[in-house]
Amino acid sequence: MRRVWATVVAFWAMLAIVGVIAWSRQAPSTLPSATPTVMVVKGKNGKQQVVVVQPTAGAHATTQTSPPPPA
Amino acid sequence: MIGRLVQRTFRAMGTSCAVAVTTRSAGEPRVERALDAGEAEVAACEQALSRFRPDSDLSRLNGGEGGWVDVDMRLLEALSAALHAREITDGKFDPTILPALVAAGYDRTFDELEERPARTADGWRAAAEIEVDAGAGRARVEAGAAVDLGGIGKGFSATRALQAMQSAWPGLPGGLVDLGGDIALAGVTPDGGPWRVAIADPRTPGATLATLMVESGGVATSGRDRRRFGPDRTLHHLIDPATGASALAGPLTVTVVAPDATEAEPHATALAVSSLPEARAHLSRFPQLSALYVPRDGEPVAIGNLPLLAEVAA
Repeated sequence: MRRVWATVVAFWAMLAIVGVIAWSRQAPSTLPSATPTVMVVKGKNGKQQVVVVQPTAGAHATTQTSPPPPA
Repeated sequence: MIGRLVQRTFRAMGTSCAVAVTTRSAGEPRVERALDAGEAEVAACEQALSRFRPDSDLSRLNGGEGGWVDVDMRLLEALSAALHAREITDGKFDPTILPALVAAGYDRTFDELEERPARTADGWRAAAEIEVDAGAGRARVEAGAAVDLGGIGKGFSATRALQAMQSAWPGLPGGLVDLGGDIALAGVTPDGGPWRVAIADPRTPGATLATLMVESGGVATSGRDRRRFGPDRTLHHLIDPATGASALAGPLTVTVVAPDATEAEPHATALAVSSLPEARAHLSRFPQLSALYVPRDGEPVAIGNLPLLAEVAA
């Protein structure tokens, strides 16, 4: 009987460990990486300075100046 | 986390359009109601404002030979907004450049443009007279002149479509209208934060230059990066009202962020025919605006408090 209980407890312990690992693991990103851009901005001291900006993936909309090519 | 974004895409105004709402459940009837209202308002605006439709209100107005013409209230509102924009941009945005635009070669939709030598409009004169009689629901344009709302129409329509969505769904958590890159935004995204708008890099097709974080308002871009035509594709649709010809000064593109899209688009048009010092001077008069100016040579320049999402590394 004790062996049965030990098996049951071990099974649930194993399941819990697997669950924690799966939950904490970061999903691999499928989004393309964005290339940093050099840009001129006004700094906190009011002077212009050249900086590097990192675009972020996952935008809700994208600017454009003309219609995209027909699908 | 509020829920998810339900988006509908369609084609209108010669470009790809999208309306979207933030919702907890995609199956809610008010989701479809809001999207229907947004799309219908875009269609109504196109019928009122398009110069490519012979039966549009704008085409009837342009054919009015200087007389009063009864038109849809959308056109009356757009004309009023355009006249205001012409005044505050010192004429750098001018809705009466159509004769110059047609003379330059942009006399049909971009899909149909053919190559032919450019010419300057005979007797070109900027700032033709437009009168709006909102009470009587009519307008007139001085004889020999014609109106083109290309530098404000999509921003105006996006603003109205967003308002229509909010009317169809009182308490709408968040909404977005994107008319070919002229964008109106309100409320929150599905993750409860501001909207993220990618600025396309005109120097590298398909690349993103920067990402904006906009809580509500409008974003519009104007430029000469793609809409080129004529011999050797040397011409572009940005007419300098001062000369009546394709503008010589100006950036590759400029993106303007404003409290609403109706305001953003004509300022973007005005900055698109402005040098960098002129653009800085212009925006210093409008603290509610910010811009990203991408010159033909050199690095992009952020003007004003541009709401860039990414951390900036010195």
